Amino acid sequence: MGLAGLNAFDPFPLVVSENAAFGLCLSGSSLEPTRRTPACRDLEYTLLVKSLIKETCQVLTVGLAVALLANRLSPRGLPLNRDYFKESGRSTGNQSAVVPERSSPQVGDPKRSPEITAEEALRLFQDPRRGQGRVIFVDARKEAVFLLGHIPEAYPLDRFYPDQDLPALVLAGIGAEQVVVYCSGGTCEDSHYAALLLIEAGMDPTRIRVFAGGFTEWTSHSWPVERGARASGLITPQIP
Amino acid sequence: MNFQPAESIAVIGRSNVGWLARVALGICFVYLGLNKALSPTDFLKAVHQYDGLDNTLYLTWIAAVLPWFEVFCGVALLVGFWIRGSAFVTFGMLLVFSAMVLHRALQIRGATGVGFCEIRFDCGCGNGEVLVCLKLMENSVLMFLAGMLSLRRFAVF
Repeated sequence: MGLAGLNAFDPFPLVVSENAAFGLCLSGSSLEPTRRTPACRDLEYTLLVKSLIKETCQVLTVGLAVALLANRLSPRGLPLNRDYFKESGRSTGNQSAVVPERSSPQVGDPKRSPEITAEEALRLFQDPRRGQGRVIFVDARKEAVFLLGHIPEAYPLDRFYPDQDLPALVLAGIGAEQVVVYCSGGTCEDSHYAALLLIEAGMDPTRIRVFAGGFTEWTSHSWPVERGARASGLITPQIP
Repeated sequence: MNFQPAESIAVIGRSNVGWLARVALGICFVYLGLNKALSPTDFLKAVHQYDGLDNTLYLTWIAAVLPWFEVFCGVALLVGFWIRGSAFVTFGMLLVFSAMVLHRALQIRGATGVGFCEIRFDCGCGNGEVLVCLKLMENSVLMFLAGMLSLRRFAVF
């Protein structure tokens, strides 16, 4: 039976390798699997397993090298020595992804910033000190989401890429008496980690509060939202 | 019988089922891998919810490397290079991913009492929130394709 005939019923036709032993074996046998001699079939399986192991090792080695290089070259790449969940302020062990958790500061966890409610966040937002830079809001969500809408005049701080935002924020934080950090709310942990970043950057931890309900709770009350960059003025609804 | 490389290539080219399987698997892995690779922090947070590692630094490594590794395997399948090795590795990855998704889904079901096929969460699979049942079915199909490709009867490509 020729190769074309074999292919008519076999979705994965045998491709003869350069392996001399296998070629010799086949020359005395048949290309059709059911008509091969047992010795030839055994040899084929041995070669199959060997080549599978060899290729798997090649894919793992080269693939990992390529992946490391791609991560290094990518502008969104992550530094491999940074632990983004170190000193976690919130345990996620038994936390459900569908049940939002509202927890209070844990005893014995000094690095966990105290949380405030939506009403307290609104009071601080309406506080006249906010206009003087003595109360500031910090948005710990990623930049793309921040641009879609945020609490008016909140400073962006993507905790995964803090280098571009942190210097301006630390400067603004010098004169701030209250710093309110928020993220999406629900199970979002980024506000607590962003608060840790601010503390590590030198901010007074007693001035930092985390608005646990986050932006989701803020918008659920239809409170003012600013679109675009910080202080863009594109605020809806207008602040009375 | 004299076998020429050109004949071998021609035979591979006519293997329509194998070609379709590797292209389908390759496209899936490139697409899902790129979705994660272009937003590694979302993937990192999704992986963190599984809470399977004591040393959270490993999560950074997984989020940094795994998406690009998936893209690599997908490209290898698409271009027809190291097909069996790539398929075998993707099979292994899919097996681990499916086990993790199943474990997480059972955790959520235990905590909320929601019906198994109504559970929806971002499994970190590269396409946002998904219904667990659909995801596991999708993974099963991909695993079948990957298994089929890795066990094809080619001695050496």
